[in-house]
Amino acid sequence: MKSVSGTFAAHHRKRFDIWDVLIHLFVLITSLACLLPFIHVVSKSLSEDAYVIANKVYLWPKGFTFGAYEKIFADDSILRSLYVSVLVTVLFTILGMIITICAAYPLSRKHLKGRTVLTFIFMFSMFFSGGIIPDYMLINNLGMLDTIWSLILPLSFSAFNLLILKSALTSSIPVSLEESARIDGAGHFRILLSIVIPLSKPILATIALFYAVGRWNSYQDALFYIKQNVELRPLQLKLYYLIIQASESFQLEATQVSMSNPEVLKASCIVFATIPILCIYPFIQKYFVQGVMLGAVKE
Amino acid sequence: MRNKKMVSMLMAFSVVAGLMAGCTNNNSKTSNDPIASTNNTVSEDTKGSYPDYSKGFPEKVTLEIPVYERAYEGWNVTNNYYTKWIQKEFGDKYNIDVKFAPITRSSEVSDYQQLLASHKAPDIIFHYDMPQALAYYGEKVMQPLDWDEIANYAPTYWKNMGEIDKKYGVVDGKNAFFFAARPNVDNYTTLIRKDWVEKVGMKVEDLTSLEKYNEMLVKWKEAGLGVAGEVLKKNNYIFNYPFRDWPIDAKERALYSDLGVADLTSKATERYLQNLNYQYNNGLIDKEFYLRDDDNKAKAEFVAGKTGTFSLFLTNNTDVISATLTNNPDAQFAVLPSEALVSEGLKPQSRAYWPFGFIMGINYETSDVERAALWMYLDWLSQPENLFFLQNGVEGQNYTLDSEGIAVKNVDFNGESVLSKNNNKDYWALVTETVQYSTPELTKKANLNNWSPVGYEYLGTDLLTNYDKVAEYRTPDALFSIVLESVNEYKADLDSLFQELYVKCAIAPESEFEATYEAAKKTYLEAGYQKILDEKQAAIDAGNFS
Repeated sequence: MKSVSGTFAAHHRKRFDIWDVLIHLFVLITSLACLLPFIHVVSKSLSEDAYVIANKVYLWPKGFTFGAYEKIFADDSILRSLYVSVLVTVLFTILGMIITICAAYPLSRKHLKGRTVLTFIFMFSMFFSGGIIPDYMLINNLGMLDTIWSLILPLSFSAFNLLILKSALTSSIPVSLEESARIDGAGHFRILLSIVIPLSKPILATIALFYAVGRWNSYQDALFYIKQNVELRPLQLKLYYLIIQASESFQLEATQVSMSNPEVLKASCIVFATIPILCIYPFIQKYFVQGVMLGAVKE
Repeated sequence: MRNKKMVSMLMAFSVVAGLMAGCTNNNSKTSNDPIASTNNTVSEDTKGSYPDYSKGFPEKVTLEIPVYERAYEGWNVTNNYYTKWIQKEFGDKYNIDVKFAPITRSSEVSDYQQLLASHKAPDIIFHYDMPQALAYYGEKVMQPLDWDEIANYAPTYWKNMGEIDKKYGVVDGKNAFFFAARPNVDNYTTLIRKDWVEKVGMKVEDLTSLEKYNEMLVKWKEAGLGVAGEVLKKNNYIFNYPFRDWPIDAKERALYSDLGVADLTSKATERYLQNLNYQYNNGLIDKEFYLRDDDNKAKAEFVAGKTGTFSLFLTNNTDVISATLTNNPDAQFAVLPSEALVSEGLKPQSRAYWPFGFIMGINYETSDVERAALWMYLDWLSQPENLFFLQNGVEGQNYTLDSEGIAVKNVDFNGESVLSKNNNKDYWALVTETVQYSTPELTKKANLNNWSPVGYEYLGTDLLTNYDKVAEYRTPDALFSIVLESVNEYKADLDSLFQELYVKCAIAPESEFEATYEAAKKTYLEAGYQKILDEKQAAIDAGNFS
């Protein structure tokens, strides 16, 4: 009985632990800090423009309307940008995964000669790069400006993702497994395709997500590389233009008609650009958790 | 150990080499120097004898015309009904492929710089502001012009703009720029909450001086109505004109007036800041004006009923009035008289526009035939029927003509030939800045149609009356005919420093204003403004301004 009451007491004490409350409070505030801005934007996108202009919409729509979304779906250029974004993200992720796997697998094998030097060379590119201007000149000289390849090729290899995958493969695929496959007559590609990849699904899903989300959300390279071919603007760049345009008046320019896009349209575009990538998370969430846990516990 | 040292040396070398690679001046495609370029137009051999392309070019010519990208929803700036129409009516006729190059309106300079760096800049390099146009010229990305060549290929354009091109387009003795026309009109004004003015027992007509205006703001505050709207000054510095002495000293104006570099040290600016400081300390203006760094933020305050004044380009499709009414159903509006911002004893001065809109130069990489095609395009665009079509669209669809021949826009039209949100201005602004009819009266009437919100027609009329009333005090800034290097060098730094310093002066306690202002002046002069003043003074003494 004593011990039971002791357990009770411990349990009781734990429930009112001040640190527990503080930690929960902290987590709650942090989550709200992420969630509230998003709810705010969603509310704006569903409100009447007059209230949005006056900054009167906070967490609940005022003058509820789907008008802005109707405009988005009627706007060919936004739908075209969505198509470009999806295409670029898919191609980019596939290419990125192929390159990363092809680099990470050999580097994770101990019998590859010079792998330390090779890894160092890859890692070097994480810390030092030419910078924006040399990058721009390179893409220009390669004739890739205003082509879809300028959005796919330059960033399709990430040394950071390579190092994560390499460590994961080193720790999760035992050499003995590879040796037994070799005894059975399997070559490098057979081992990679039939053993390594199926056994590494969690980390591969995680890295694919890194690639896809990174590509989907970035617009800066598109801002530099896609200038004249407006058909190739990805969604985030389109959104960037929609939001920054006409936020100031131009004193030197005669303005005959009001030119700014409605605030509510900007908000609905943000939501429109966020939802597709948001939909991917639930499907790979279980892999994602496993993936980031890899290597966290040493046994 | 030695090996490690070698590796470190090699790494350091590779980093430095990588960095230096970006600094090369190697230009694989073409020479950067327009003078050395084979495209130089002012050669004596060709002057006066220009090939005839009136029946079209023997080989296809590609013309790249810049067009502002303003990200209008549902509008493809480079491929739409009107770009296709231009190709069909002009391009196909002369064997020219007319392409449009989008230039982001709000980051046009960086867009141009990138395009120039990649040798993909369009054939025209344009800007609204002379200092920036001179900066482009100073970078040698424009080729010299031959007035006779323009007159030969673009007689209509030259007839309209030749005099202005010759008067303002010469830099350092070379023909550098050509221009679009700018009719003398302006719809920038300040709206004031008429219901608030009347609630405190005054009338809008009573606001005949800054003193009266401030008196009204005090009453607004006492009645708990709200404050005057105010924004953070940046980019276009025209704030101190109403505080200047009259008549104007032309040399002093040349020294201090600059849209790109704010003047912090003149007597006019001191008066302006003193008033701003008074208004701030007495709670008469938006307390957080330094956060209102774009029009939308100031608009939000006005629409929400927190501020009672808002400056804008008044247009018939403005959303300010309807949005304010949604939030404040009793709101009434009036145009703030120009005198309300002028102290007693001073005159309601303002900056007049120069008589040109776009300032344009030809890309140094543009070839002779492309340049000829470009002049032909300008001429074609200058034809009244083409201009009218681009400005108004298809009769019966986009507009109907009223009894006087003015195009009345069909606002609900949404068909294939729909105009861009700013009435296609970005396509026709290469020849004129605003729509013009055959007589000034008709133009005025058409402008009024554009500037009068439905149900608030008196605002448009008041705006015009206000504009005409102070016409004699509206004068253009001086134009320098040389490149001012120090302006290009210090402009960006001084821009941000000015914001910091003037806000500091505005929010200082009234008793500390003098000391804060003196310290700000010293900092500003030392940060490069003194060098600008010195260079300008030297140019003024040499007579290089008009």
